[in-house]
Amino acid sequence: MQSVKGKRHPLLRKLWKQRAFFLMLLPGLAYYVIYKYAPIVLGVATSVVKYNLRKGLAGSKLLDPWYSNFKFFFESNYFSQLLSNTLIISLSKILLTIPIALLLAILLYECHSVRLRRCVQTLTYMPHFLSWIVIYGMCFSLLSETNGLVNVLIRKLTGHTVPFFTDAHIFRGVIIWSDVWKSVGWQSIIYMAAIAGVDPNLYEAAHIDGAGRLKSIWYVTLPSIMPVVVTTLVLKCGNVLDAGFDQIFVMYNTAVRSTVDIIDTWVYRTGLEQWNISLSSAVGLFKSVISMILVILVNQLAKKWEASVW
Amino acid sequence: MTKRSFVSLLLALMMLLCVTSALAEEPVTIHVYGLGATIPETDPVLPELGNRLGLKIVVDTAAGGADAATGLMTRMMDNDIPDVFRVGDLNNLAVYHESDAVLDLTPYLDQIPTVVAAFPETDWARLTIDGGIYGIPRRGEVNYMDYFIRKDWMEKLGAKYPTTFDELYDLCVQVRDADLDGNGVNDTYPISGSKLESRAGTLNMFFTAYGVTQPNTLMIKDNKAVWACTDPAYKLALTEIRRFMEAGLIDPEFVSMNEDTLREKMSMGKVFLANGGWCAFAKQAQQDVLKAVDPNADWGHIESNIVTEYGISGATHTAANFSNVYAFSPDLADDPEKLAAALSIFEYTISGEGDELLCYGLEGVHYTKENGVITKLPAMNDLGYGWAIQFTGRDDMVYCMTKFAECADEIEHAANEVPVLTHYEALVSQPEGVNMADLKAYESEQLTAFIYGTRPLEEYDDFVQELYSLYNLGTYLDAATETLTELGYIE
Repeated sequence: MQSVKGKRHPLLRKLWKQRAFFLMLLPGLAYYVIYKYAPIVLGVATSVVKYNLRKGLAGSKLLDPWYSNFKFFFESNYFSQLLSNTLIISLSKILLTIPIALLLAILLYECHSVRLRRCVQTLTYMPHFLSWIVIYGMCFSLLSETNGLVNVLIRKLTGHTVPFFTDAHIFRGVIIWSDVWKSVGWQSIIYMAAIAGVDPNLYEAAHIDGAGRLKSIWYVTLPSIMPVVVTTLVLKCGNVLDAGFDQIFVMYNTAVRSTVDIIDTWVYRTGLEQWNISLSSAVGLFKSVISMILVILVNQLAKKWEASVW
Repeated sequence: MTKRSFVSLLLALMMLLCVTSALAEEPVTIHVYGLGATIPETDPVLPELGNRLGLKIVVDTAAGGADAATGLMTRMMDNDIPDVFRVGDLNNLAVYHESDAVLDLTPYLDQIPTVVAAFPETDWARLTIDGGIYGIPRRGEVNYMDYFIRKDWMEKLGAKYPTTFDELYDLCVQVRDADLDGNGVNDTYPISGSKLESRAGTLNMFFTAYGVTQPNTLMIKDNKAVWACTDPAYKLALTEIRRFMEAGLIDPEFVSMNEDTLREKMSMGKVFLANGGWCAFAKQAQQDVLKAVDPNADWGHIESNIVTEYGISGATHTAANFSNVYAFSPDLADDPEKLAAALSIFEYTISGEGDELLCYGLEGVHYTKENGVITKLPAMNDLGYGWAIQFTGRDDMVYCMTKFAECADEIEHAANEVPVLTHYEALVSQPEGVNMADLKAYESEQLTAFIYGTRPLEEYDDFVQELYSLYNLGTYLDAATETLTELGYIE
């Protein structure tokens, strides 16, 4: 009987043969369905209803028209500014952090003094553990126009001060560079690990062929860890519309909002402060769709370097 | 049945009786979710209140307004609504009402006659949605806002207190050039403060002197709802501010500062004049901070007001004391005993001994009373979380003068001498087709640009037009007029 069935459905037969593996897969699958896919469905549903806080989704009414929240977001006078700010800040952070972290990892790897290496490594990844509130306090003490250390120096040298916190364009730099400072050490750990995994024979071969340190970095280290770099890039593209809510919310003010107001800060002001959960869900959905498209595009691009994630 | 099993049965029965009677005697517990300082475990006030009313009262607090609202929302979504909870503002109350997460108190008002009588009709009207009353108001507070000035520097300069902006300008120029903190650098910006939109905003002296309230507010002028920044006097106030900014008399960093950074700058001798509440500058601990660098620093309220033909400099105040409303869980409707208990807290503490207990603590421990006059004992300083448990507020002037006697001078000046302008936007819900968050954000950004000179003031009328054409201010003003007429503010 079974063999007849198998003949009819070769796929079913194959599946049945591997039933033990599928059984083992089940818990993992269940995890994704319950914790990853179900929330997507709930999120989509929440974005098209007037959410009832107490009764939940079941007690909520469908919006009329159902796309009202999306319309509200897209029609906001701030939409284009929000999108461009988010992309500029996010991409700048990604494109600056990756090469600097890479450089740091290579420099640390090439450093022969173990003590110095450990010291620098610890110092560079320490900021990762600081909260943005603390970093804001540090930035303010350093960059404040009236009594910040940096500005005191600048005033002594030039007689002028630099409005780090009130000039919109300079402030965007403060946002980007403070994030690079915070994350670069942590990011470099991944690259350090990748470099440590490079086959030593390759270096020896390069050395025998007459390559110096710079050339072996260029021809051995970099090509070997390129897949890891591309992978981190693809993964970061998945979060490209998260330009760092915590940081910007803590640090921004009305004088600089035009250049650092991002989608998430708008959602906070417009949606969450007025308990409009549905609006937040709608914007979250929009962000997810854009991020997914970007991840697919970047991965396609990565295929050209044979370094794609899938 | 053997004798032994009979005895064990009897014992079991007795134990059961003990347990049930113990359960029966367990007092009703009322969970309150509020705002303010954390209630310490050693708090003697709430247990005493519980004893007097035969209840157990558990108060849970969030430190900030946004935290409190988020915490409440999470509880509502978990279907774990606290019995009594503080509501942040009118819009939130409406959201809770739409979600059936708040109790209509109308059928139960006869249980709290003293509370009902204690507040005017208008207060109850504000809390009415679709004919039902959804919250209990809180007694309002007197004005705390004032302008604080370095009195020792005034003496050093031998200057007189300014009454016009020209006089203030000259005084600030003197301060800017005199290096009064003696550090050898001209790094004092005479006027500093924090934020633009807050009632403690740096520039409120300018706005109020021109008869208008701070940005992002709604006023009533000539019996009409007016969005403050569209008033013609606003441009004049901004012109004045611009003059001070250009001369380096206003701290260019004020938009990025808060109360703490301001106090720090004040203590370092970088500030001459700042706006804020006496509760932020006059208390002993704060005075210690302000005098940390220069023990001779003497911060006190300014002795004069700036007058223009449009108004007098002073403070602003919101017409809605909505940060101070308590609402009830709809689940209490099914538990009349618990609801009665929750209501009794408000009825008991609105006046008399209940009020005294929540405001001043225990007689003999925290205060003494003679001929009706309450005198503070040192232990009253332990009750620093008073605001969080004064469910119906307090007789504010008497309270402040008793509890913060060392600030009496500042309290009286702020409450009696500082003129106060009222603003009304917290009473108005956002109408369909208007995005107030965007409008307010745009207004703040553009006003900041005018102040910093990045947008010329000649374009001010264009800016006002933009509020109408891009942000539908007209629709909002129509809704505001309707609401304020209903509430009796506009005739």
